[in-house]
Amino acid sequence: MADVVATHETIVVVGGGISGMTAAVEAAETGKNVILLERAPSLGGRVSQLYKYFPKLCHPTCGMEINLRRLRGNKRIKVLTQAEVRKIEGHAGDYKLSVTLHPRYVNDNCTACGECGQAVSAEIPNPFDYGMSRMKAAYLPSLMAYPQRYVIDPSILGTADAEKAKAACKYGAIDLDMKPETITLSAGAVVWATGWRPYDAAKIQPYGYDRFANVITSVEFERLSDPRGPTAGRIVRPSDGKEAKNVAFIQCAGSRDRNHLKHCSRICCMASLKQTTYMREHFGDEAQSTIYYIDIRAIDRFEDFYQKVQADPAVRFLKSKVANITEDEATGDVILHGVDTEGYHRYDNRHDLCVLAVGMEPSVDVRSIADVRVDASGFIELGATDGGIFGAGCAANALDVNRSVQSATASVLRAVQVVNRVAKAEG
Amino acid sequence: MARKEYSFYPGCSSERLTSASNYMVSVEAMCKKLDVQLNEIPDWNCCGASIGYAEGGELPRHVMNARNLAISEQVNKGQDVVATCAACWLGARETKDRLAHDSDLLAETNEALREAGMNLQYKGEQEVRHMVEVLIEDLGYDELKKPVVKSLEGIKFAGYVGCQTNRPFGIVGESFENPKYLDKLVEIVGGEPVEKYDQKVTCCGGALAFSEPEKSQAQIKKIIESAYDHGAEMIVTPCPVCQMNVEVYQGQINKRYGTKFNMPVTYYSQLMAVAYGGSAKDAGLDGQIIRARKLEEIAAKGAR
Repeated sequence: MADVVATHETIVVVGGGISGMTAAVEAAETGKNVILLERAPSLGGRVSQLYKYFPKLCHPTCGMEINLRRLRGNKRIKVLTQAEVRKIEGHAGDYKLSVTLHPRYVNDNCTACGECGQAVSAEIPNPFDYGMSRMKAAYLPSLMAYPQRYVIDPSILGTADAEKAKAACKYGAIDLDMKPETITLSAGAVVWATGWRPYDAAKIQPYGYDRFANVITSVEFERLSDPRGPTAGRIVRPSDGKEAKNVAFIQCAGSRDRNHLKHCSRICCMASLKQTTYMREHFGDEAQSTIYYIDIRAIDRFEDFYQKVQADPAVRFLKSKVANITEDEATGDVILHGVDTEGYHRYDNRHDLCVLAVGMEPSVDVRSIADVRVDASGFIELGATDGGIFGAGCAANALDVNRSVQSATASVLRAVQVVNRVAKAEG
Repeated sequence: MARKEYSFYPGCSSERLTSASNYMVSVEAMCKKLDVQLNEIPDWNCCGASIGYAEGGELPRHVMNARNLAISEQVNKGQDVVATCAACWLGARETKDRLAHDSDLLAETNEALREAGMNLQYKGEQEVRHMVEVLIEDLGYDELKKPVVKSLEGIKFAGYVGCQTNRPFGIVGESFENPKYLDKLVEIVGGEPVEKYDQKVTCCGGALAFSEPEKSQAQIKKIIESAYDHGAEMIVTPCPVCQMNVEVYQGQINKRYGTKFNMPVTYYSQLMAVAYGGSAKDAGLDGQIIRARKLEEIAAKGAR
């Protein structure tokens, strides 16, 4: 990795999702040198796994395309994928980042022709579909993947499959001898944009995510709805492939709960409201969506969206925190039990499918890596201990895409100020 | 000397001539085979059980448990306290937790013990464990399998965990909604667990069986019905209250609902006692109201 040049005036952005990509582009467009590190084999993060954004209901591919174009066209940005930051030491204006580069086993000769994927027979769960589909162990992470290069999964190393993949490649792109390496990068400032992960739904035990096939999470429902997803966009039940026309959405699944995440994850109300529009799009008047909620938090301009969904007769709102879910074994239906607080009626409601609107938690525990302050939920507080590491996007708070991008831009401004100070001092 | 020694009290339900005395008999047989010695806490008293929560008041409830624990600290030094009864375990464990986190309550409790004139002081030196915890954590499934000489092959068991060994403390590493330790114990002795038994943590009604029989029996009906639906021949449980409620009200439930329930309800320790080669008497099978005939048959085979 001799071609990575980093100095006190470099800004390192950690995390290549929508926030990190935004931060990298914004910083580079002010004239700073940027290194963008991503742990996965491709940029794009969780946003690339969405079917549509709220509130405009446009497709993320569009926004990603624009960001990728800005990124590719900017010579000041160096992207390293499969790069994991282990430790950040030093102080504002002079950081040293210890970074592990995991092997891809594919070099940049790759043209993404796909021959290696054809040759390999082993299949692994596809993380892009949250494990709802399987893919070959030589794969392109997604259609929009950047870089457009295949990856060999380490699980087939030393097997005949690995040799088959290598033999199938016409470009000499497969290098099975690649080893992990650790490099040290210098940086004047760091933008930490490692994003979020969905709260582990299995921990919300009364909802039986670990026991009932037809209890899924909101991020999985997003993949189900996507024409490029595991079911080619058919909204069907995992248990039997039956169309899920009657779907329950449970809000605050793991959020605002002393037993789980104490914070409001902010996106889940809008995500479920949005997902009811997928139901209408797929099933028309036959769609039945029921939203079980504590209160709906559709803030600012999202109120319009909320009102539109409320006006849809295919969507029912039930003010209740669902007590538990049972399964009707004969049909695979899920039965939600609880009390409707508007009138205190007990209910046992049957649905085809239940979607848990799971909360957001930080995807990385940054405290073990860098000296930064985090809040009670693990999100980075504004202003690092010594002022040179800045949280951006969902590493800093539970934010939607729009606010993540704003947060990224704000963090870049602070990072640029640090680097400018260093440049001035060094004269 | 035995492989393991524990400070122990059986609780009221496991005393001689009481509802769960056969539980105690089977535990003794099981522990003998496992080379585990239980040293009874002398002059132990009631844990307070449900009444302690309803009317007894907080301090008396903790004093009663603290007394048992304080005697244990004096007499059975260095040993963990083990209860076979789920309610005893829950009550004693709650007391230990509360006294560890509330110094005022601890002071009051010890004052009450002093007033009783027994020269007792609760220090909180010993862990409070359920027998199931001891089996799983101290011995482990592999060790529990070693003494098995007879397989309970061909019997399907619904593992009914109930609430008290499950909430709020639970067995370490188990899910509250779908604990699997009973299923594992059934497998060890060669039986077949009901894999998708959906009533395993449903409340049996506890003491409501006396005061609100209709409500309690509605719960019990679900527990038994699901066991039948899943092809179980017997229910197995770690709790004396669960065992009693689910077993003894089957006749009343049959009258009320027109069902034909006749399902034996056993303790895990009875399964193990039989699998370890014990007779029906060793396993306390003579204490069943609904006889566990299949277990009796296996126990009779080549009984020593």
